[in-house]
Amino acid sequence: MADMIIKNGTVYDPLNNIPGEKKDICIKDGKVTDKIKEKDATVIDAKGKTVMPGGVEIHAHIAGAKVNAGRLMRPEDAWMGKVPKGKLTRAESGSSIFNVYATGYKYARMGYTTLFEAAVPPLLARHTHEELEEIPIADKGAYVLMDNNWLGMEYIKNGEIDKLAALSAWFLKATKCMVLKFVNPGGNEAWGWGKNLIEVNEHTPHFEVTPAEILNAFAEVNERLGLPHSIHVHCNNLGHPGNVGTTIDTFNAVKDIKPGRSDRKAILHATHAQFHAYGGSNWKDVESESKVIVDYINSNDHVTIDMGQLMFGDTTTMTADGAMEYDLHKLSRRKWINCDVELETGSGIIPVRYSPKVAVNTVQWAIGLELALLIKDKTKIALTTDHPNAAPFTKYPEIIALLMSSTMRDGMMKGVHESIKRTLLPSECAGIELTLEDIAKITRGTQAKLLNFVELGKGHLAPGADGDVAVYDIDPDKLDGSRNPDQIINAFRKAIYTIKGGEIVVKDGEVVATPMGRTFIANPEIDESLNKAMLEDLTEKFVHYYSVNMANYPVQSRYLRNPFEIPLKPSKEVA
Amino acid sequence: MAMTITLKLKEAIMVPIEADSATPDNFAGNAEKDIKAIKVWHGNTEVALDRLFDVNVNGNADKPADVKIIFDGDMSRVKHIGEGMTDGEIVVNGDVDMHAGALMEGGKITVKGNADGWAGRNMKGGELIIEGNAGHYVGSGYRGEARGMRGGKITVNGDAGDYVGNQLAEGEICINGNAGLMPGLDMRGGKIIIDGSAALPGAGMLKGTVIVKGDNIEMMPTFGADGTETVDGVEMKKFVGDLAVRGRGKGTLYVK
Amino acid sequence: MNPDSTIVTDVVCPLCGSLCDDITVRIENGKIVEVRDACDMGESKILGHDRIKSPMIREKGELKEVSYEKAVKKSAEILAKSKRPLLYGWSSTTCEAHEKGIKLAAEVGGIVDNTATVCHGPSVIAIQTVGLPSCTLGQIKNRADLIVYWGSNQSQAHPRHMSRYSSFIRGFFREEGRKAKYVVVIDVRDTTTTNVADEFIKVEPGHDYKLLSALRAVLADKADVLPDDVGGVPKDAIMNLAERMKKAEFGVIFFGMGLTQSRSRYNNVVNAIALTRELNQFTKFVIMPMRGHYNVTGFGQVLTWETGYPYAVDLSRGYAWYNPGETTSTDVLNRGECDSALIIASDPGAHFPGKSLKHLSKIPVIQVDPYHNPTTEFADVVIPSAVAGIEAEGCAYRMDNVPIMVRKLIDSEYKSDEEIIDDVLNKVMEIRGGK
Ligand code: SF4
Ligand SMILES: [Zn+2]
Repeated sequence: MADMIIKNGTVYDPLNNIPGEKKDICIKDGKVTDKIKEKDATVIDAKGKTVMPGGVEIHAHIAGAKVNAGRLMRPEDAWMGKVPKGKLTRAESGSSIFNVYATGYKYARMGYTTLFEAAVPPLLARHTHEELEEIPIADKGAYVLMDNNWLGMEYIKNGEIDKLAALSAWFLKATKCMVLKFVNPGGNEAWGWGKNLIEVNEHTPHFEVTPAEILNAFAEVNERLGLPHSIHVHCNNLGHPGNVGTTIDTFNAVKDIKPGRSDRKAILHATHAQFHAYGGSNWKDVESESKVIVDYINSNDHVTIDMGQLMFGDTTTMTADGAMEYDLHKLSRRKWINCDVELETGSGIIPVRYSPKVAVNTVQWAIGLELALLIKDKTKIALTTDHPNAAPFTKYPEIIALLMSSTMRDGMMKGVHESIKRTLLPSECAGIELTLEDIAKITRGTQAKLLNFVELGKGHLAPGADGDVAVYDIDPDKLDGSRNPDQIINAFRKAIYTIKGGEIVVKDGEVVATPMGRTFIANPEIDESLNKAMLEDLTEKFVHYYSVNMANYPVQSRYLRNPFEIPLKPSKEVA
Repeated sequence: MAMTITLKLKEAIMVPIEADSATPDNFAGNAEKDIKAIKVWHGNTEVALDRLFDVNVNGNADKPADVKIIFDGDMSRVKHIGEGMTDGEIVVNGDVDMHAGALMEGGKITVKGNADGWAGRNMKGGELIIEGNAGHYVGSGYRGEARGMRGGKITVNGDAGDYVGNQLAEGEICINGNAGLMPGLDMRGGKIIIDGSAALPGAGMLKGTVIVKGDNIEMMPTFGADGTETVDGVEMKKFVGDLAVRGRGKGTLYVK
Repeated sequence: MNPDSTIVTDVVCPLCGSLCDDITVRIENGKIVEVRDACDMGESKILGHDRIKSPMIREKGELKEVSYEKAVKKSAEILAKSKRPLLYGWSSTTCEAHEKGIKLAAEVGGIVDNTATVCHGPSVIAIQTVGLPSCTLGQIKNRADLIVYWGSNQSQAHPRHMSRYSSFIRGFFREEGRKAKYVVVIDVRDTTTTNVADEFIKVEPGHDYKLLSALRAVLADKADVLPDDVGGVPKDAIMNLAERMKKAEFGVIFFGMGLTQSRSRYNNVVNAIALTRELNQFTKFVIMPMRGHYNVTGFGQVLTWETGYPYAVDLSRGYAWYNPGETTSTDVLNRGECDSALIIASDPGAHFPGKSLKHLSKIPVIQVDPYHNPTTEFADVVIPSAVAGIEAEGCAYRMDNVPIMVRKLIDSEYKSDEEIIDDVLNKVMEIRGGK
């Protein structure tokens, strides 16, 4: 691969304190470097353009059983988004759930180069990897669901944290994932009987542990294993009016846990916070309680969040929170898929249409923006839509414009339900506009920081970083974002260049190369005798209760073409 | 101004042609040579219209309303005739293949022969007349959609196949002969009138009206009798349903 | 014991959708000589039987042995010049082969479809209409106390299903096994499955839809409108069944081709799913199609992530178009739309209607299969392949969408389906490269 120099662009690299400087970026052997010999290099003239590190997706549902079940259930969604194959590209389908090719291409067109799939049911992990291996261009990784793990809950009940660590390590390795993920902890087991948990101190049937206990124990384990990211949590009671209390209780449930590594303060990442910030008591009087979340995040370091920004229009909701999807189904009576996964977790899917005429949708739309506008430290909040739950990820450019332009927000607020008065968008948020530097944080820098992928070369452009770069058609010197939201939308929708590992993959918004990226995995090492003790218990579960033999359970190495093992920083107790 | 385009197949074909581009909307404002060059799909190959059809253009027109297209002869291997048209007229002097008048928004299509499946699928407006018989899914929606046809009128002079008006939301479908299985399946609005017989009419319906005038009707067990009413001068039994759909089955079914 | 003898445990049976992964085999001198724990059907497949010996091309009505390269070249030529090729089968091979096959279909602008067309395609359409409240089989094993088999005779089609996942198995909350469960069979006739049921409800052929609607009406408090008898089932029995369903702690409906292939086909399944959905107002209830071939489910998965749709996908216009009834193989063939066909890992010769076969006999047909079968009788090019799951490894999806890797147990002199399709694809690209 030829060396590359991206010349004269305005560079936004917030993790290296570069808030928009005229600067050249050199890439050699796929990595950013100080200097190269210009005469042998591919030269990209970025004069009058914005240059950022490649985008990083911290939470989206892009591959695996749920995503594919959603595709299968919605041929009408596939048909609406069809794009014929090109010389280089395969046919695309989907308008809220994309086929594997469209997923890779669409992210790349927006300048994204690293993607994380946020929910892998362990038993079905093989499926997730089959799809990840077909998504072109980006580097990828995945989060394994440990929320309702039978043996895990038994260990927690018995206070066997050491074994819980060994169990977590086994599941990370067996599923080839790299983050411990929790969706409706304890609640999915209750949903196995058609019930649910609402409060963090309720006990799940039979196993008699609470969401708070589950999260506290796993947070401890996460730090002992020295995983790069904190535990990643979809709190209980998602989407219900008045749920902000449950959310804060969840945050407090892990407050006593100390970070296991010095390069991260967060203990818990609360995903799609928008869905967890409601006041009121029913669908009519629901109101924004974003302030409660904002204040908490502004004054605590152990919790970080992503937005889960909702946008109006048609999309598909899919989550491991099967009980919540059933609640949505009861409201809309639209088609509904549920798939509970034995001994582990659940899931549900329904199509949804968010309307600005609906009170709750309007409040939801406002809350995500409020969080991003009002949280002071933009490295504590990441831009997401919980794709495709609150909106497809293809809406990111519009969300960026809404955050950068109060004029655009004011315009949109004219066409929404009067419930907007029960939000902070018209009041506290009035006039607040994010800068391109803020945007560079919430779309890449923050993600890399929260995932602890800075050292691994993501989310920044210092020498040694991956040669993942996005060049957007915005001249910061001339941009008046407030008055030109359309320019922002168009620029972020179609990068002029997306460069992945030093290779141009998108030019003028079109895919020009489709290399295959790496898949990040974590392989925690566990003390042998501890591991043996855990395996005896786990074998019991397989012999009697799983429907698959233990020998056939772990994802075989043939499923990953380019695995990349991330370094861990384990504590003494486990290694 | 008016333009008449006559299309006649050059030879009998096995692999179907997909002629969704041959509409008044696409022909209006074009010169003869441009019309002849409009591409249609033949299997996996895109070819100029005049490679497959003898194309005869008479007059000219700026807007679709002034365009009349005559498909001359047997078109039973030509799919998507008149798909998405917004205005103007199409006459087919023979049979048509699937999806005739699908997604149609306006104008008029007359099929002198029979139509295969999905005639008038997802229709929004305009008029579709099938003088012969029609296949399955007349005036239905696409797979997975909650709402199918949303407007316009479909008339079938002969018999229709199964699932007439599946997912029907608005508009009217008249079958002058018999209908097959489950006309009005899962419909949520609009009206279906069947002069002949039908099996399990209105199954799963939420709203709208199904009228079956023939003698030979297999009824769903989940409709509630609601007296009698005079429909088009004939006294008919009125039913409400489909009551299998909890709390929402509020359609009306009239039978003799 | 023979010194060459090896025992392999945790073998996955590549036959039916139960995808049992607890089989033990003994291998001697590169041959499988003993199979333990599989049912008779599975055992006979794993032990192996007569194979196609050599690639063949039909000349003057006779299949003549040719080199592999020649057969691949001929196949590529046929596909490359077709206007509407059909690539059908796929249900008894690996997902890796599926991926290659879909790529080939995209390259040649063809229709790609699997055996769902003649079994559970209607279930797919039903899921697209109303969704599917379901779960993995272990969930049923551990929790279910009411099991309903509707139009599916698993004791024959999936012999170990009941002992591994449903009626007989002991589970965490069902330590008593069979005693802890109430088993209902609903079918048009007495089958071997009815023997093990607590209750058999006989429905008249073609009346399942009405019976399902009647059950839904009971749940909706509209029992008063029901006649005394629906589809041959007395109203009392309907009321009792509805009550039993509501009272279950965890109920499941397994359904088979009795539902999908009788009158009103996919709508029977729509109604069964709608019933299941309604039951969740009262308790926990799930439903699951009894998928037949061991990887019919896997093909649906792969085609969906590749194109957005699970079967019957027409790629002729460069994007995917899915419309069962039009793009389904039997319809394409009955209507005589396609001008060539590649048949892999399935046997339409034995399962398709006469009209379809008549068209197949008129067009060039390529067969890729380990075994000689009725399809071979009219194939123009025949390429023998390794048996996936015995001689080649790869991914398969169980009927509940759980992916399991099937093994390579012994070597084969033949290439895998994946390799063969890849060779054909490369040849096609070579031929078309000129254009
Ligand atoms: S039940 Fe099916 S998968 Fe299991 S052994 Fe028998 S044929 Fe094989
Ligand atoms: Zn999510």
